[in-house]
Amino acid sequence: MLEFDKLLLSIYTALSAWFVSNGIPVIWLDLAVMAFAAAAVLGVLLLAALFLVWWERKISAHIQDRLGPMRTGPHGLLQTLIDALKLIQKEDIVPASADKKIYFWAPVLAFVAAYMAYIVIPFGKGLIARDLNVGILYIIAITTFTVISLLMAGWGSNNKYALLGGMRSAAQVISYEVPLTISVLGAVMLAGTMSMNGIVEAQGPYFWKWYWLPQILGFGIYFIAATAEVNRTPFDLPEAEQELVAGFNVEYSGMKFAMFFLAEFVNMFTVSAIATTLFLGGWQPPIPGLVFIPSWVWFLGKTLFLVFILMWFRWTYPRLRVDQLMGFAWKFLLPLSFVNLFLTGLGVYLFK
Amino acid sequence: MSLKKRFHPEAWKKIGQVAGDLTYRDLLVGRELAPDRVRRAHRSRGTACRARSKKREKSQVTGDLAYEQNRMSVIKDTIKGFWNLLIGLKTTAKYLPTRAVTLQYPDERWPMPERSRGVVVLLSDPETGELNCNACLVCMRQCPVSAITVTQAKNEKGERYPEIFTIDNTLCCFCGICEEVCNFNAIKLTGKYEFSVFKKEDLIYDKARLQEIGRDVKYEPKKKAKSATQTAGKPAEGSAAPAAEKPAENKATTQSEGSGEEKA
Repeated sequence: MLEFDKLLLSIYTALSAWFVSNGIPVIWLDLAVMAFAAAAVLGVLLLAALFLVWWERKISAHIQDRLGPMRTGPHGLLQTLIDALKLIQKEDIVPASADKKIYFWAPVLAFVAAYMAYIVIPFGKGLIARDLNVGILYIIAITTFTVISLLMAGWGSNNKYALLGGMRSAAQVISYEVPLTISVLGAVMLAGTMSMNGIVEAQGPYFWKWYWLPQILGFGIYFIAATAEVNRTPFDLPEAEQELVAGFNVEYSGMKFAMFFLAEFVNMFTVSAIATTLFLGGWQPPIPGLVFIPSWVWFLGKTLFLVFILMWFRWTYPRLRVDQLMGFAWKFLLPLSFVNLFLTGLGVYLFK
Repeated sequence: MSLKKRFHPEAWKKIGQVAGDLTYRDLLVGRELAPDRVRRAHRSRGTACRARSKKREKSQVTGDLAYEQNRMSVIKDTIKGFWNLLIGLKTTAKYLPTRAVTLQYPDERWPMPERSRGVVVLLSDPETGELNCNACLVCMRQCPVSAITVTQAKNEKGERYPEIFTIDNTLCCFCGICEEVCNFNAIKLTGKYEFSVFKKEDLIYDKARLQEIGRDVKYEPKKKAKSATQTAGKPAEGSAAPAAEKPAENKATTQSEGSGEEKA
């Protein structure tokens, strides 16, 4: 039994007993637990980013009939680490006329926004840093922070191309947030709660009862909107290497660039994790018989499967032009998400 | 969406009353109000254009049916588009399990073709171990970059042998002319291409080195130029088949080659 929830609970009770017996107020233990949870989430996040960058390079290579990184570590596993080290030791060039404060804080904000969403993601049974009872609302609020960081990056670089790239990127992200939010509402209505753990548990233990089936339209809309949220192809014009010279992060070098880069991959993992939680049953096995496999393995497997689909999209579809992109969001996805919401509401009313 | 489908059939009827059988292009430039002779004059276009406009007239679905098709095609197009997206995914996915075409260089190498032109070596007689070269100096003269340096000497038996034989690999362009002109099977280009060194001086190979790297090279004895017919056949065989070769000449040379082969 590799489930961590009972283990952690027992550690906590033992420690709190020790604290009480020695007269130290338990608040210190709670603070320590929170710090530990934050550190654990950060660790998971960094490992995820590391792994995802490697995986992206391998998957894209194999789709293109080549091998990808092979020499640094077995099959190139240490490649991302070496790349991070390389970026750390690069010279940090700041444009002379850049707005120093905004230029500095943009990548920090991007990374922090990406990181904050992980607090409410259930990585396994009982493995959630904080089960807020408005979990999904919190996540939607956090994803809005990324927009600010894009605008800050574009503006602070004092470069008209970066500004254009940043504004296009911001326009894209906020346009796709609307259908994303509305499609998420469908799942929330079926579950009856906004708490992430609550949604997972409301989906039941059987895979045909998970919300991907009754909410197939919502799942589709969510996934497409999520692809646009994280600026992945076919929606990655703001950062397309071939079109704009890296878009809003053209003036960033070294560690700051690494922050943006990591933030993109972390965002990818985040939206896949949210999709897993809302539509694919979270940490539950498809049938109750398979519960001996730990819940976090199921969660990781489902999330990585969705990430794989994101990467698959990247190497299959051509890029959308920015006007096609916006038209698609407002003229197609938004009405469709309203239809989904209406049908879900009708279904909930009739069958519950 | 085509202009035809954009308007309601009623609107088209109205336009039809004014314009008759004009195409949408005419409408775009406002010709529906032009007098009849101007319209007919503009109408005289080329054959292909006329054929296209005739085809368009025949295939245009008129009336309410066009309007209805316009309505339904949004859903149909969406479903077709979605299906096409899935086909695209399948197309990329089938490359995932296939073997990559990359050759991982230091660990694997492409096998070189049989007659590849790599580093030049000196060939030795398999039994005696002596160099086949008799210092005729033909390769030195024919080398286009003068990479070969040979001096002649006579050994105790009175045979001529090369005292110095140096190939400057910084000059050698691996053209293979020295191998082609040698009549004694003394020099050959192997398929070896990996001989990078740290100092330029190490790229100048002397006789000992050339013989050493040539020891394991297998070679087929070339036909030795002994008789007149064979010398007639040999240039034709060695030459690079000039384009304007008459069939009669070809037959003659192949015949002499055949006889040469029998004798050798």
